[in-house]
Amino acid sequence: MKGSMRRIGALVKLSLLELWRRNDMFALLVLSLVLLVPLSLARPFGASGATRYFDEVALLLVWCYSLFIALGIGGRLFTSEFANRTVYPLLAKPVSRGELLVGKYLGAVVASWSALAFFYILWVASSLLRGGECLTVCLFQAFILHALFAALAVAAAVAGSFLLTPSASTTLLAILFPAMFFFGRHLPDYAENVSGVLRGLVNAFYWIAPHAEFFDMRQRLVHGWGGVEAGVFLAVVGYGVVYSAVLLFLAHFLFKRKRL
Amino acid sequence: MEDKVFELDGVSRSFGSLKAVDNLTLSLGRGEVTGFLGTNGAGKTTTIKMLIGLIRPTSGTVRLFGGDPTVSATRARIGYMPEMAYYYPYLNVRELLSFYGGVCGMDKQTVKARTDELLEEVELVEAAKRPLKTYSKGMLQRAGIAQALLNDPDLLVLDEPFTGLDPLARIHFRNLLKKLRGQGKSIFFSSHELGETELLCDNVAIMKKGQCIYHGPVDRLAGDGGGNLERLFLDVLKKGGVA
Amino acid sequence: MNRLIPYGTVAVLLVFVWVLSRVAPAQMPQAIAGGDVLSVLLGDAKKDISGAMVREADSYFHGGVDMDCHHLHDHHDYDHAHHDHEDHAEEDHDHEAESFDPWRWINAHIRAPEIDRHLDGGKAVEMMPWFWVAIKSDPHNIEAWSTAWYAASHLMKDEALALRIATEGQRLNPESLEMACVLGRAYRAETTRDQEKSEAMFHKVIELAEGKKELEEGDELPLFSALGYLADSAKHRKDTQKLTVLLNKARQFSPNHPTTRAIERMLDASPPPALRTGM
Repeated sequence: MKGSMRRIGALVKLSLLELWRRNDMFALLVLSLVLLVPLSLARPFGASGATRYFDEVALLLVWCYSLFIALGIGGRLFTSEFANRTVYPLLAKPVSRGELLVGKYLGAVVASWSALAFFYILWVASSLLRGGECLTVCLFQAFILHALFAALAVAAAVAGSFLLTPSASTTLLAILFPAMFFFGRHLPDYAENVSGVLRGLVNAFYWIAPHAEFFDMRQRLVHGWGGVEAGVFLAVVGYGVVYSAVLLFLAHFLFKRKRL
Repeated sequence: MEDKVFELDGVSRSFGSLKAVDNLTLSLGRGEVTGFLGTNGAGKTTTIKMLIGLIRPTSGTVRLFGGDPTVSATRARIGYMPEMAYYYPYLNVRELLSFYGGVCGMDKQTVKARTDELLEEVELVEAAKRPLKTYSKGMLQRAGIAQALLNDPDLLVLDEPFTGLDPLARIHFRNLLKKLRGQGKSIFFSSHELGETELLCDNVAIMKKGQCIYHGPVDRLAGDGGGNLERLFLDVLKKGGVA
Repeated sequence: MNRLIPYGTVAVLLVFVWVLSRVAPAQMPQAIAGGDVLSVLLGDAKKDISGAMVREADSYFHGGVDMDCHHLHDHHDYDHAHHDHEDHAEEDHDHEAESFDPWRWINAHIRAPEIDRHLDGGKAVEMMPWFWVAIKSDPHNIEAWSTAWYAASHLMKDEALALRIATEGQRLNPESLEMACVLGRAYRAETTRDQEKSEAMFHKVIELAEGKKELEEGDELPLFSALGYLADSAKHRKDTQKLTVLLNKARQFSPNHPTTRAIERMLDASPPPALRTGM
C-alpha cells in the first residue's frame, strides 16, 4: 500500500511539474490580463459601478481555461508517453497498468485543480479589491463543482485518447463539452420538436452525454444568490464522481487491450 | 536462488496473421551477458517486450526470476532501457531519476543517494540541472541507462543501446556495460552493432523471421569459421543456423 | 518560434480579410459595407450578438435568471420550493404524473432560482455593459438604445446618463421615430429639462412619420407618444391652436387611437370653443 501510494505520488508530481513548466499557463495568464484589465477599466456610457459583467466574463474565461487545460493534460497523458516511448521504461518498473492509469490521472487532475485554484484565487482577489463579498458558501460549492468538472473532463480526455486519435478525441471533446454546457439543458425541447429515430437519438444523447452545465454555478456566484441545497450539490458531486469513474474504467479496459 | 534469470519456453507471439515470434526457447543465466541479434523485423523487440511483461505471448511461457513478468512485483529486479526514448523534456535528470525512483517505490533518501552515484557513473553531474530537452542523443542514452540502473537491478534489458551514439559515447557506454558485467549483473541487449556485441558478450542469440537460429557462445560462433562476428552473422543468416 | 506561427497565421488572415473587404466588398459574404474587421468577419451575426446582449441585460434585470430556462421551473419544479400561488399548485399536481427527470431537476436547482427579484436603483448599472456591447455590435439596434435609456432614467434615475444614451442613439439613428421620441423624453426629465429641444424632437417624430408612405410596426407607439407629449405641453400653455393642429395630425394617422381621443378631450376642456370650429 505504501509503495503504491509512493508510485502514485511520483506520477502526480510529474504531471504538476509538466503543467507548471509548460508555457501554457503563463500564456493563459497573460491572455487573461490582456482581456480583463481593460475590461475592468471599462465604463460603458461613462457609467461606473458595474461589476457583475466583469465577474461573468472572468469566470467564463476560467471555465474556458479549465476545459482547455483539462483536455490538454488529459489528451497528452498517455499519447505523449507512447510518442516519446517513455511508457516502456515506465511499465518495465514494478507498476501495474491500473496504478499507472490512476497515478497519471490523479496527477493530471491535481495539476488542473492547481491551475483552477490559481485562477479562482486571482478572481477572488480582484473581487475583494472591488469591494465584493465573494467568500461565501456559494463560492466554495462553485469551486468544488468546477473542480469535479475538470476531473470529469480529464477522464474523458484520457478515455478518448485510447479510443480515437489524440487530435480527434480532443477536438470532439472540445466541441461536446461547450455544446453541453450551453445547450445540454435544452435537449428535451429539441427532442420534442423532432420525431422517429432522431428523437430517440436526441433523448439517448440527453441521458448519456456528460452534462457539463450541472457544474456551472457562475450565475449564482455573479448575481449573489446563495449556494444550492445540499441534496442538489451532493447529487451533482455523485454524478461527477460516477461519470469520471465510468470513463476511467473504460480507459483502463482500453489501456489493457492496447498493443504496446 | 534461481540459476536462470529468465526463461522463454516455446514462446510465440502473433499480431493478426503476422507471426512476430515463433516457438522461441531462450534463457539467460545469472551474470551472463547475451547479445540479441537479428535483422529488422526479426522479432527482437517483441521478444524483449514479452520478457519484461509489456505484452503476453500467444503461446508458450515466459518466466522472469521464476515468476510471471506481467505481474508488476516480478519486475522489481529488472532495469530496462528502450530504444531511443525521449524522456520528459521539462524535467532535469535528477527529477527524472527521482520520478522513476518513486515509481519503483523507493524511499527519497535511497533515491537521492543512488542518483548521486549514477550521475557520476554516467557522467551527467555537470548537466544534472539542465532540462532533458536540451540533451543530445548520447546524453539521453546515458540518462536512460541511469534510470534503468536506479533500482540496482539483477537483470538489465537494453533495446538497441548503441543506436545514435557517437564513437566517444559508444566507448563510454561499452565501458559502463563492462563494469556492470564485472559487478555480476545479467545483461541482455539487442543490437545491430556486431562489433560492440563481440566485445561485450558471453553469448549471442540470433533471430531470423521470429525464430532463434543460433544461441550459444560468441567464441563457438567465431571458432567455427575463425572470422569476425559480422561475417559469421551473415553466414548464419544465410545458412539459417550453425552446423 | 513555432509558437508564434498560429498567432502569425491569425494575424495574416485578419489582414487578408480586411484587405479583401476593401478591395472587393461585394464579394464578401454577409459583409456590411464600410464596416470594421469585426463587421467583415461576423457580418449579420453582429445583429444576433447584439440581440443576445440585450437578452443578457434582461436576464441581469431578473437577477441572473436565464430567461430561456423559464420552462425548467414552470413545468418541473418538483420540490415546489418557489411556488406560492394556488394555481401553481394545481399545475404541479398535473406534472407529478410525469416521469421524474433527474437531469432537469438538477438544472432547475443549480441555476439562479426564479424568484421575483429585479435590479433596482443604482444596481441597474449592472445592465449597462451588456447594452454597451449590444450597441457596439449593432448601432442600429433600437431596442438596445431605448432599453438602455429606460434603465438609466427609470431604474437608475440617472437622467444625465439617460440623456447621453438617448443623444448618441438618436445621432446614430436619425431616421428612427423611437430614438427621436426617446430623446424628446430625455429632454423632459427634471434635471435635464429643455422644453425647446424636447418639443423639437417630438416634432421630428411626426415629420419622420409623415415622410413615410406607410407606418412600420413599432412606429405607432413613438408617434402617438410624441403627439401626446406635445399635446400635453400645449395644454399646459393653453395653446388650443397647437392642440388643434396636433389633433388633425393624430386623426390623419389614426382617428380612433386613444391618444387622438385624449387630445380631443383636451380640446373639449380648453377655451375658446370658437377655435375648434375651424377644424
